[in-house]
Amino acid sequence: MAVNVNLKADTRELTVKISGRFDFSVHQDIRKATEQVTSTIKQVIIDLKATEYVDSSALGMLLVLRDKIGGDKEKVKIVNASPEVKKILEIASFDKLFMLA
Amino acid sequence: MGHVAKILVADDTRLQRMMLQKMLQSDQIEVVLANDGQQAVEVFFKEKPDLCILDVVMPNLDGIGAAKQIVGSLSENEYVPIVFITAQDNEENLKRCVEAKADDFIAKPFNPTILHAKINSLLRFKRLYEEQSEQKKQLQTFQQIAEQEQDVAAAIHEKIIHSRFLDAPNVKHFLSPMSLFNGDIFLVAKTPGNQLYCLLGDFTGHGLSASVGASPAADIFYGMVNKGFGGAEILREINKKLHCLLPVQMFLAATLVTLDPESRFINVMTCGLPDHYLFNTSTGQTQTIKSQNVPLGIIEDFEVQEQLFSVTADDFLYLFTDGIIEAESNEGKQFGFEGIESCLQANEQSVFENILAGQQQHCLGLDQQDDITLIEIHCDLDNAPWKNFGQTNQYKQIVPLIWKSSMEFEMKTLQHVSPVPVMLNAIMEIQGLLKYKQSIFIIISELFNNCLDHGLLGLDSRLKKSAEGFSNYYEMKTQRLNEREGYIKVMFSHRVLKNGGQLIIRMKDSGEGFDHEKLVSSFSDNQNYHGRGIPLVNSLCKSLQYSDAGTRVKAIFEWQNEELTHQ
Repeated sequence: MAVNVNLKADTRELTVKISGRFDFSVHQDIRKATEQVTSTIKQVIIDLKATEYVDSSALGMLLVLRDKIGGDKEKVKIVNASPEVKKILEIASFDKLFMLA
Repeated sequence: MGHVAKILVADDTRLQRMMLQKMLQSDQIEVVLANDGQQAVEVFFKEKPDLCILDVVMPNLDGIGAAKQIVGSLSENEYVPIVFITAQDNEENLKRCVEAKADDFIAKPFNPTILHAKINSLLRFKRLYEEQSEQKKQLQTFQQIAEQEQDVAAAIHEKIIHSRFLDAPNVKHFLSPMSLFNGDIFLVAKTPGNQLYCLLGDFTGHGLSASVGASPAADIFYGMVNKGFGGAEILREINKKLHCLLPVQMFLAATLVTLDPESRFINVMTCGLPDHYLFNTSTGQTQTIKSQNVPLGIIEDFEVQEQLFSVTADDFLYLFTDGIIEAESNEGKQFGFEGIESCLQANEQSVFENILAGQQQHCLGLDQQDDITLIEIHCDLDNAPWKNFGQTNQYKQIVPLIWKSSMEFEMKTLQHVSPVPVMLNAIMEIQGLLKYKQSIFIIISELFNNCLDHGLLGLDSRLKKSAEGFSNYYEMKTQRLNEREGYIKVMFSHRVLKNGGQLIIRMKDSGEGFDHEKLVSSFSDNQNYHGRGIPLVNSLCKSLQYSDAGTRVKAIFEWQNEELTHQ
């Protein structure tokens, strides 16, 4: 399973975990995950622990997700990115748009 | 029909010989005769009878002397009953007969019924004795084979575990010979990035059957660690291999610990071993780490649950297989987790020795069950004391090579496969630039997708302005892939630089080109969903050039080996 979505009912926290390549090939799954982001969701966590690489379409998908929750930096947290993936996110200045942990 | 038994009758009196022969001889029994003790011995060796009837008093050699020679010639597994013909009143004679290993006596005059009963009984006893000897011999042979197999298994196991084992100074381990034989494995290696990986495993099954799985598991572990793969990837690979290889009832309970000096975290991936303990010597606190994954080899594939712990040089991690927990005292009480916990609290300086000593104390005076595996890992990430240990080739720098490779993809192919991962893997195989995998991926992926999306499929990135359009864009891409024609040609070449190399990526497509000027511009408005790819590539590459109206592109990526003194 390339994209794993988990909603914690009590904290209204939506965790999206992407395994393998995060690119065009998973866009349908990410779209479905994005549809789950409603006004009741308090926090979106993007878990990149199992992500091998990202490309620019992945960055686009992350931005779509962020806009869906209101464009608030605090509300989307990207966690467990490998140093290399982190580097890409930083080159794209995503540390200014997301919480990078 | 052959005779079932052969009996030697030795008597110097012809009449008695004839009487006994007459009474005994039948379809079942053949009788051979001797006139005196000397002859009896000769006939015995020639005829190999099953039973001997000897007169005590005979010329040349008496019955007792003959019996001694006959019995003395028998091997351990042979048994020939000896029956003496004697007068029952001579106590002295009887005693001598018993000393000569007499099995029974017959008295004159002979009673045929008693004679037959005695003979049949002795023959039955002889057959039982021989069957039992034969079985004993077989058992001994089996035992020898089993012992040889155990030796072989232990030797193979030992070799698997020690041949590429990194003897890191912060890792203490104790594996008893019995635990080796029972399929416990402990593997240690470090990645090119100086992370230390330790894998403790416990195969179900024993001896050879357990060694069968240990070999591929160790091969995968050492091979992948050397190349710098992540822990979860390694476990999944071992799992896949064992799943194919092992019979259903066999599996590997294991834990992989990775120590990363850069992140200051240890990562513990547990697959079915007993609880582990993370003990802090300065606070005296213990964290219990429970198993979170299925043992390896049971299911086809799984997502590895990882547990990260922030550690200091005061932290020690203890791992063990179930042998140490289940070790029983003479009251039948198991050493158990309580035993380990009390050792942790007792003396923080040498917990490792304490646990071993405590376990031995616990099992005092008992046959050592001896299936003990205990590991202590000192989480000293500050000093990373393993970095100067091990084979120097683990520090081996990437050797820059000179090579070229080109590939061409028709639209029909692109409908079915995404060639980017294939190209990336090919480069990794040839040049081994694992450290730069993500960067090279993004360069190839972005350039290739631009050739495809804009060059061949004529898609406009501006479509991706809205969230809705973003999704439409990819739907349109799927649709046009099936309608259009064309090709993309990719060429990689690699050159040697001082202490590094240069990877040149060229792509050409059969499309009409596109407005590449706009794409190369920087991240002007970072809120857009698109337009990030080429600026990313630009910042990763030494140079990036489009030509021929955007149908050709050339990107140069440079890499360098780190200095050996780098920490």
